[in-house]
Amino acid sequence: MSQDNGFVSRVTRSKAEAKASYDKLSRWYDLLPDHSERKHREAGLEKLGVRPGENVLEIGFGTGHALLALTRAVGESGRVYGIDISEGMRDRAKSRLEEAGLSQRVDLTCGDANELPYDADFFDAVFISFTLELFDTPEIPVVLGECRRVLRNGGRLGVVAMTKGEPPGVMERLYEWAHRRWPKYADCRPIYASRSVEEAGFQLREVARLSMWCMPLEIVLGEKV
Amino acid sequence: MSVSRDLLDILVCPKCRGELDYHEAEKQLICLACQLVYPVEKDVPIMLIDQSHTLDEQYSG
Repeated sequence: MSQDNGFVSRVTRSKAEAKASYDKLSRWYDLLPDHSERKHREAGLEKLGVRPGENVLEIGFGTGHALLALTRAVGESGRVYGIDISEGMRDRAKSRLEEAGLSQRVDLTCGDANELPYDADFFDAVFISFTLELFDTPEIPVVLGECRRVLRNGGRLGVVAMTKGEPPGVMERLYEWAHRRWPKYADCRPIYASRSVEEAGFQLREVARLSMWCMPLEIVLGEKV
Repeated sequence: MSVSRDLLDILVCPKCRGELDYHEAEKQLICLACQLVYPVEKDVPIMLIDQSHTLDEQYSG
């Protein structure tokens, strides 16, 4: 347990505010955070190791970068599904897929990962990158439980998330302060990623601890057993 | 363009996890158990409960 006794800051902005915020952000998103997040997202995709023929879900597809990579990885015999709460992000991702000529191999849905609108035991893999830390603390086990529900037995969950340091560093404290001060804008915050995945009933297969903006980050690979 | 067969095969109501009826012409997915109507916009189902409406609202309005 960490020195702050496992405390994870709450997310106080509403889902409607999150949706409105990401609808607006969708136009600029590729210019701002994605530049920093890209290499970690790509490392997460590599650990997930998607194979040809698989059915894969991405939660929080944003502007669609990972959807492209996943679609190429599953090939023509597989299929990619994406869910995001923001219709602005849907439009950006759709454009990106159409430009790449891949839109016919990807199915997008607008929805909330707290209540995934998909059948149980279907997906071979679920990928969630820089999204789990946007959910309020009590929602995190619900989202991970939904991931577990829609994965088949033996299916893999790949998570890339800002993670709490032990003890928290200066940048993390500053970020947490910004999160409390401007909850609508600094809406994500560090969480206990690997521990949450394990507590949701996944078998941890791999955990990599990295750093972004001088703050800890985890890439977690879990398996539904 | 419409919602793909692959997606329709696995899509369920986010509230009850029950089956949905797809009404292509109306661009709607309907859960009869919950009496909820989910819109389809730009070929993308909007499966948000707070953006759905009830069948009563649909037929009374």
